[in-house]
Formats: sequence, structure tokens, C-alpha cells
Amino acid sequence: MINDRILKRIYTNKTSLFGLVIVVFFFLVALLAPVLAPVENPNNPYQLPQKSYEIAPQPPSAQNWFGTTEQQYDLYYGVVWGTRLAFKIGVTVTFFAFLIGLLVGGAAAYFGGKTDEILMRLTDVVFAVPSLVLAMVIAAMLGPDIKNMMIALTAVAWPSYARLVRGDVLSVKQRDYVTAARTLGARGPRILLRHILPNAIYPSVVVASLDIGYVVLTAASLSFLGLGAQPGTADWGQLIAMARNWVLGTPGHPFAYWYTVVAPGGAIFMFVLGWNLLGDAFRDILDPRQA
Amino acid sequence: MTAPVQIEHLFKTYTRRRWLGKNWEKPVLRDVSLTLEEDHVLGLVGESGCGKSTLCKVLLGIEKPTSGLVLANGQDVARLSKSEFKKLRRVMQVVYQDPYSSLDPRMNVRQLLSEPLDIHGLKKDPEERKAFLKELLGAVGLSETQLARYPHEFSGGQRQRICIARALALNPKILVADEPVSALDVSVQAQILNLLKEIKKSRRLSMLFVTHDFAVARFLCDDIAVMYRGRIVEKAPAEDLFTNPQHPYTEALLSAVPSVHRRGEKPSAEPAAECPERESWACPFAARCRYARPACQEGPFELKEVLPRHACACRVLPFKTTKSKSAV
Repeated sequence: MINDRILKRIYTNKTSLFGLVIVVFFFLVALLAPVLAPVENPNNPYQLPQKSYEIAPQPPSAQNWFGTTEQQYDLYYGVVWGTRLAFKIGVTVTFFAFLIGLLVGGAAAYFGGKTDEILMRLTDVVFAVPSLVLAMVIAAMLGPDIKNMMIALTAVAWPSYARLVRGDVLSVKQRDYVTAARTLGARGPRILLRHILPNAIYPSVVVASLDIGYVVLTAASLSFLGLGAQPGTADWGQLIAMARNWVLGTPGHPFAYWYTVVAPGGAIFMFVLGWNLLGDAFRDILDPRQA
Repeated sequence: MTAPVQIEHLFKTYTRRRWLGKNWEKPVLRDVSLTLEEDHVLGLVGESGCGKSTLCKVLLGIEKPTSGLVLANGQDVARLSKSEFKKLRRVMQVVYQDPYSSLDPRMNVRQLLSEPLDIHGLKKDPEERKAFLKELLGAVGLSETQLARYPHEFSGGQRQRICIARALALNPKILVADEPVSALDVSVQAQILNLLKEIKKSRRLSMLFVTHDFAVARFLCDDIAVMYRGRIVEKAPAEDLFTNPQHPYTEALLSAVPSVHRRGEKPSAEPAAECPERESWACPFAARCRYARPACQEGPFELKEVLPRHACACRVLPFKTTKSKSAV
């Protein structure tokens, strides 16, 4: 019933429809990556094919649709497989952050008292450090690797879910139907799983949809700084890192190597924009003042 | 035979522990004693905030009593283990005030009605359960075709019927009804009251019926207890109480009930907002009472039997008798 309403709102609102179209487009690209850009190294499809070792990027051509970046890595391949990697990173990190937040926030709200105090102060500690800085520190400590980067991103993303879930569980816990279930004889786990969580996680799901874009953006930042994907990986942040030396072009031709930045940068821009528009649409729909 | 519900000298104080400084305390129930007789409907009447709902919560084990004894079906609710209490839940069930918030919005009628059965492991056979649910819905005036619907698709009255069906699913002997009709509009109130009356009769239920509405209490209750600020000020068989109220508060409440037969009389108490709680008065109502005397400030507050089966807690009393005496 609620889902029908959300879909209807998305269809009728142009900006949210635009967001949905972008996200669906990227999803199809990620899904069809092996078709769109055939794998050249079956052991590691995220390894960018390298035509030669020439330093200077080459402009778009029939062979390299988006051109090549530093050391002749194919930008088209990088953007296509980078989409798949972006989904992998965004969805995995958001999923685990959501899960940790759900457990921590749910436990804090459900048990209350000291448990609540300890768990929420722990959350505050993570919140107190700027998330990008903290993610950098954790990623640097674990070593540059995509998996470690995802761990670092999860470690900084879960507190917002913990707070959100805690607040919602606290409010749902007070509702009459929870008391009613208790007077029917229901015990803790049943009440938590059947009544409290299904009614409390909805706002967090919306935040998660907004977060996927943000996580991918942060992941790109880390990769750009050399704390995530290694050089030669089909990762948007990494592609931008490789464009770093060519951004200013050549003397007299400031945009000579525009494609090195526009291809991966445009992908990141559109991906984050898509999720943000979609998330905004969810948020507007769930705002009770508009319903 | 023990009474279905017996409450003796129940005190309930809400305490909030402060980090620094004094603990905050709010006495909500003070020395409440009540008996719900087998096969009777006991009405608990009082203005909002007087402790009616807290009493229900203590009885249902949602809140712990501060002191005193609460016996439900002969068992002390404060001392029961979790599994013993679960057994007691099959005997004692509850209908809440607000049918909009007491049903989980994400469950359909089938799930809502199956939940009590699942919790207690009853009627597991699908065929048997189907027949049982059908019978249950019939008993509250709903039909089997509505099983797949969700609460938001029903009106307030229908939702309250679902709540009643849910309470009846465990086939209880005691039903606690915490203002079951006060959230409904008047025409629907009558239907739900009739339903409760009929169910009470057919299932031989003993019912604790909480309300702030005397007209509702009069329709349904055999005995009535009037509460004021956490104390029982008067209790009597319903007809006695209406024809011959003994406590000034009861009189004030009755005079506040609008009537087409009576004219010119005004409610005989000060509005509650104008009189702050004055602990110096032994009688909680004295600050608002037009019969108050200095004596009301002293001495213990006691509920005394002034007429057969009719107890009242007024010191200037029985004021009806006083009045008639002065007339003589």
C-alpha cells in the first residue's frame, strides 16, 4: 500500500523520475558491464586494459570511445566497470552500516538504561570526528585496498543509522500496539521482530537510499587520495587520480585533456545526483505534512 | 470461590531517579482497594489523570505496584514468574482506549487475530483455526471476508471490534476495558457497548470497565467505584450510586452530566484547574468541595461503609443524611 503510493509520487514528480531514470540506467550499465565492455583479464575484470605504456592521454577514438587516460588505460572500460564497482561499494557499505546501526540503535533503545548510555556515547565518539578524516585514518591504518576502504567507510557510516533507529524504536516502543502485544503474552524477541522493527526501520531505509550516492563519493575521494583502489583499477576515484597531472592541459590549450576528467567525473556526478534525487523523493513522500 | 480481581491497599508511585538532587516522585494510586465480583461489571469512573489507567496497567502487569496486593484470578500479579503470567494472560485480557493506535498498522486482520493464538500455541490445525477465526469475527459482528484487510481500511468502530475479537481469541474469563468507547463517536459507542454487554452475557465474563462517562457506566456496570486523585472516594452498586450519591465529588460529577430532564442546576464543584494540589488536606477533594470544613484537613482518609454495600470516604458525611437531618 505504501509502496504503491511511493511509486506513484515518483512517477508524477519530474525531478524524482529523473533520479529514478539515472539510477536505473547506472544499474543496467553495472549489470551489463561484461557485454558493454568485454573483459580482457578474466582473473580480475576490474583490471583496466592497457594498450601501451605511452604517458600522454589519447583523445576519444573508434577504439577508445572515451579516450584513454595516463599510461593508456581505457576510460570507457573504466567508467563501465567502475559503475559496477560503485554499486558494489555503495550497496555493501550502506548495507553493513545499516545493519550495524540497526543492531546498535535497536539494542540501545530496546534495553535502555546503561546499555543505551554506553552504546550512544560510543556512537557520539565516532560522530565527533569528521567522517572523511576518520575514514582516511582507518583506511591508512589497514592499508590501501578496496576491501579495507569499504571497512573504513562502514566504520564511519553506521552511527547515523544507530541514532535514527534508536529514535524510531523509542517512539514505536511507546505505541499502544506494542503494549497490546505484551498483554497478549508476547515476549521480547517477538515484539522486537514483529512489531517494533517493521514499524521503525522505514525512515532509515530512506536515509540508506540517500547514503549510497554519498558513500560512492567518499569512496572516490579515498581512492583519489591513494587510500582505496590501486592504480589500474576500474574505479572512478582512481581514474580521476590518474587525470590529476593532465587537468591543466598544455600551455595555450587548457582543455586539451578534458576527457580524462569529464568521463569519470561525469559518472560520479550523475550517480550521486541520481541517488540524491531519488532519496529526496522518498523523504518528501514520507514527510507526514505532505501525505 | 475467589473473586476474579481483588485489589487491596494498592499504592503506586512513579519515581524518576535524578542524577543529581532529589528523586522526583508522583503518587498515582493511594490505598486503592477494589473487588471485581464473578460475573459482574465493575465500573471505574473518574476524571482524566485520576489513576484509572494506571490501575489497569498494574493489574495487567505493565507496571509494578509500589505496595499492596493485586490478585487476578487468585494470583498475585507482582509475584508471578514470566511463564505464570503468560498463563494468566489467557484468563485476563484487555481492550484499549484507542483503536487507531492499538492495532499494528502492518498486520492484516488474520495476522492480528492469529497472534494471540500463535503466542499461546492454540488452534494450530489450519482448518480448526480457520473455523475459529470465522466464529470469532462473527461474534464481534465482522465477516470472514475482511480477514485480508489492514487496520487503516476500517472505521474506528470496526477497529474496536477487531480489538475485542483479539481479546476474546484466548477465551478469557476477565476482561479489562480501558475506556473502550471514549475514542469513538457517540453513535458507534452505543454499538460497541451493546456488543460488550452481549459478549459479557454470552461468555460469562467478569469485566473491569474504566470510563469517565457516567452514562456509559450506568448502561453497563453492576458496581461502580469513583476515583479522585488516586483514591477511591465512593463505591456502590450502580443504581445506588446514581440515585443516592454520597460523596460530594460523585454528586459534582453526576451534576455535570448533561440532561434533558433537569434544568437550572449547576455543577457543584470548582473547576479542577483553579485548585492546585494541596497536600495539607487529608481529603483530596476538599480544595474543590463546597461542603469542605476545617475537619477535612485532619485525620485519616478512610473509605467507610455508610449504607449497605455502599462505601464513601467523606468526613462531613453522609452529607445526604446530614442534609435530611438538618431538614428534620
